[in-house]
Amino acid sequence: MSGPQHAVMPLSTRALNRMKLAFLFAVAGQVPHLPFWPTTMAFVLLAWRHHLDRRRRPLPPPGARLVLALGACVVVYLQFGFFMGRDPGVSALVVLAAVKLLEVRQSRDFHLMGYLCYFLTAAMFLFTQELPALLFGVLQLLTVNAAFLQLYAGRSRSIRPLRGASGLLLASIPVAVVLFVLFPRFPGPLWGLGGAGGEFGVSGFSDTLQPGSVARMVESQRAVLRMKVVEAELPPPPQRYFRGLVLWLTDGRTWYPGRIRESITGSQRRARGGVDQEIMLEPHGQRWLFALDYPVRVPPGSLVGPGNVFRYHRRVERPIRYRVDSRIGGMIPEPDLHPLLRRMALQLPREINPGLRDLVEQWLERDSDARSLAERVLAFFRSAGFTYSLEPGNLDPRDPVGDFLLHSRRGFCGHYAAGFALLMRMAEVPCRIVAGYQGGEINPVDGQLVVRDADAHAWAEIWLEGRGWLRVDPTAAVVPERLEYGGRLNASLDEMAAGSPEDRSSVLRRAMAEGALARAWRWIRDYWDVARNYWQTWVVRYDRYQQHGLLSRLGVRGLRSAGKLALVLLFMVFTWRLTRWLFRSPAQRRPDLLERCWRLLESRLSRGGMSVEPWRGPLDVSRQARRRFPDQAHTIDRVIQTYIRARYGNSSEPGAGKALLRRVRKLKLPRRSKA
Amino acid sequence: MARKRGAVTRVRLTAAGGAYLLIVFAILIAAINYSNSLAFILCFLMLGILVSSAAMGRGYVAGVRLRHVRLHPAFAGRGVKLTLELIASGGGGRPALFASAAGGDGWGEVAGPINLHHSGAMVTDVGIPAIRRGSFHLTAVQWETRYPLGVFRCRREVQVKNPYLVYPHPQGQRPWPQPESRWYDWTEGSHMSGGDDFNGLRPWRVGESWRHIDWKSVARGRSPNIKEFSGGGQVRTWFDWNQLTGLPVEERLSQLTRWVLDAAHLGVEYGLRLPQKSVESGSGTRHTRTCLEALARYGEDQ
Repeated sequence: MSGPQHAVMPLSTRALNRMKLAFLFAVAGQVPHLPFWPTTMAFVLLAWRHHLDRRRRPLPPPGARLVLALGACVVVYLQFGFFMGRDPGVSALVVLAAVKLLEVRQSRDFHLMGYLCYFLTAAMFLFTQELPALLFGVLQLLTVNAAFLQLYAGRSRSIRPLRGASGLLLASIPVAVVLFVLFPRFPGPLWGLGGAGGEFGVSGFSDTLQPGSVARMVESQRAVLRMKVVEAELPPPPQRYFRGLVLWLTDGRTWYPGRIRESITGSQRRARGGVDQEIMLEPHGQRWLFALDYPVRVPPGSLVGPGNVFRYHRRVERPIRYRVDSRIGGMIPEPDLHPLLRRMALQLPREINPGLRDLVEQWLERDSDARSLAERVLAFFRSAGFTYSLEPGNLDPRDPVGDFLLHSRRGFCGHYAAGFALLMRMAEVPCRIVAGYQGGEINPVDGQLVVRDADAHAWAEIWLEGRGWLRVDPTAAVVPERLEYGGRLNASLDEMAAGSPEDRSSVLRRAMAEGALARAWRWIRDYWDVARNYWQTWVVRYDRYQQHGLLSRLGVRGLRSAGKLALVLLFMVFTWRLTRWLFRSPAQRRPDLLERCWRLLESRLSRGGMSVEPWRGPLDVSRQARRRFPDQAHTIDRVIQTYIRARYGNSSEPGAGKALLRRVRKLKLPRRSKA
Repeated sequence: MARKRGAVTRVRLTAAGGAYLLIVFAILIAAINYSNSLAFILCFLMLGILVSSAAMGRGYVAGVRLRHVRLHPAFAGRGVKLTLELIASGGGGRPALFASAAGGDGWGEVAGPINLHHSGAMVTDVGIPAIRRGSFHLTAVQWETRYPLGVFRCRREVQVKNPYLVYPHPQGQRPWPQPESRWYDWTEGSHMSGGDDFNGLRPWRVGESWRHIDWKSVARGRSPNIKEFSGGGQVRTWFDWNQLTGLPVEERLSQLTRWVLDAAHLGVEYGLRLPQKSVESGSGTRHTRTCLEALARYGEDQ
């Protein structure tokens, strides 16, 4: 016997309004990520639909909707000039869904609308994977589901859709967590990212260095990387140099990394470094990775190139985590320098300030050794009235380095590194600039080192014949405190430079002291940093390596994808049983008072020998029982009449159920065997 | 528990549920492709919600009970109307239900959406098809909901065994049988235009009793006529199976039903003679029902 036909659920205004709200949220989630027009158009169409509904006016005819849909496509095309890729794709989804909203009349359209909202939530996650995005996405999911609940509740006023939807969501969290942990992760994309991965573009580090460029970043307190040292002590603050990129070439104003074939490495060894770090790096859209100076052993997918530059196999477009082993100390031992690299490390701009030439020649007369020449330059920085400043003032654009070294003598780490490198090269000492970070602070919550934009730094390395590259930080010669306190000092540097040594320490104390508000802010920031780190580590960057690690920590080893899928299925079955129990009807749990009265009455009657078929109504049963028990006819009739009033009457008096139960209990029927 | 015997709850994915699964799958593919953890989470939450929504709808329909079924008599060719009383005890919301029932001729149309009363009870009318005449049993009553998300149809089917009768379809062109005299109304005399013998029709005059108006012809759009009987008193008409020679069984029953209904309408006395059974002459609702039941049950005992 086949079942009955399916009937259609009529669409109610309340359900439609809830769906409009869900769509509003779904589009709101796209606002920060999409251009102005697509989302605005969606909002306008939504408002229009709402207006038409409130005025009970007819919906626009199909022709008008077609024109609108075409217009929507034109808007997207004008905005992007193409349709492929993430941004135009999501924009088109937003506007076409808004047009679809104009023709929602029946439950089928309603479903389609809700499903488009699910898609929009998923699309939002292509743009951002931060914790707030998930919370907002869950809110969107709730509102869509609440709209569905409202639809299928019908005219019932006893349904609270948002509560029901929350119940569904809560019940689904355990299975979602288990699926998230167990579901097999596959390496690599199935198809090209098509621009859908781009969530970077925020870091201030570019691959060139102008003397003043680093200064632009020092205002920002954005965390760039977090580091944890595995099975070793964190190096002391002066050793916390994070090597980023190496700049070899200059035109007198800007420094460039230059192009070097990766075969000229010379320094890649499989030695143990001694400081094993776990680093979480924010996306910066470039290929270089940061590690304590200098990285020795690097994870698969990355390499150490010429200049001991640590690079990733592709651009860092989303936060990544890696483990790297570094050897610290400031010296990179290398037996010899490749002739090409030597030429690059001695390259000079075409025009050089004659004043500088005089200076270098004076030094060369007394020293020829690279190391003592470097000491001379540092002594020059210390003694010749050089100050450290965030606002070095305008330098001569044709010869900024000469202007800085000879006249203004106010500058930032970029100026010092560039000036030092130029002077060393003029003295025929191979020298290169290293850009990266120095400093960072320890987050007291989890003990990890957090490096921020403000810790951006540049320093130099000189070649010692037969020994290797030696790190020389000219900035440290001017402000030794910079090494100890990192970027936190930036704001006080100008003041510090102006004063005497005694003043310096008081300024330093003041710079490090904080008010209550600042402490509170720091506290919030520390916790937020840790939360974000856990989020990035265990949620956003949860991949097959993380999964493998977690599962082996839980004692599950050697589980293949098929095994994981089987476990997932098993857990789905378990969830089904669990939710069935959770959502068992109240009647199954404990029948209400009236139902208990009725069941008691039934059992009394059947003990008296009367069979009560389940489909018999109260009136039928009453008639039957009165015939069966003529002596009790009056009582039975009154009991059943009371039951009928309580159950089917419009107003139920409080306490009626209890009174009824007492009366049923008092009902004494003669026990007889079934006739 | 006796109450639960013969009751099953079934959960089926609807077309909308299929679409929902497709979307979950699409989001999963996107999550795998972009290694997007939040898309994974969304996809798994949606899967979990799918499972728990099935449990939620199932829990609701399983908690609804059938309290009472009342069947209304019907003629073949038209549906049997029945009144269901459903009851949901306990707290919680009462989402829309759709109900239907099955009898001897299969499932009837789904009635709904219906919402249970706040105190838990609900009365609704549903129909089941009645194609053949005869005595049947209501076999099953079911109610379903697509609450909460419309992705599942949760259905509870209860086996019942309520007998009901379907009377033959009233139809036939055979002329009215000759009435036979039963008694003579001595008090009124033969001069009165009443009696046993059907004399024919004459126009109705204002002030006359409506009792003998030929309503059938009125219904056909003619002016009211009085059926005149000669002999006075009541007439008694026998509707006899054997008068209808040359007709197949069901058509004979249909013709007899037609006559019974007309006679009941006119208020004349009539009797019914079937091969196995005959109903003595009489009139009134109860008599009509006895005749119709005999017609419906024709051939049952053999």
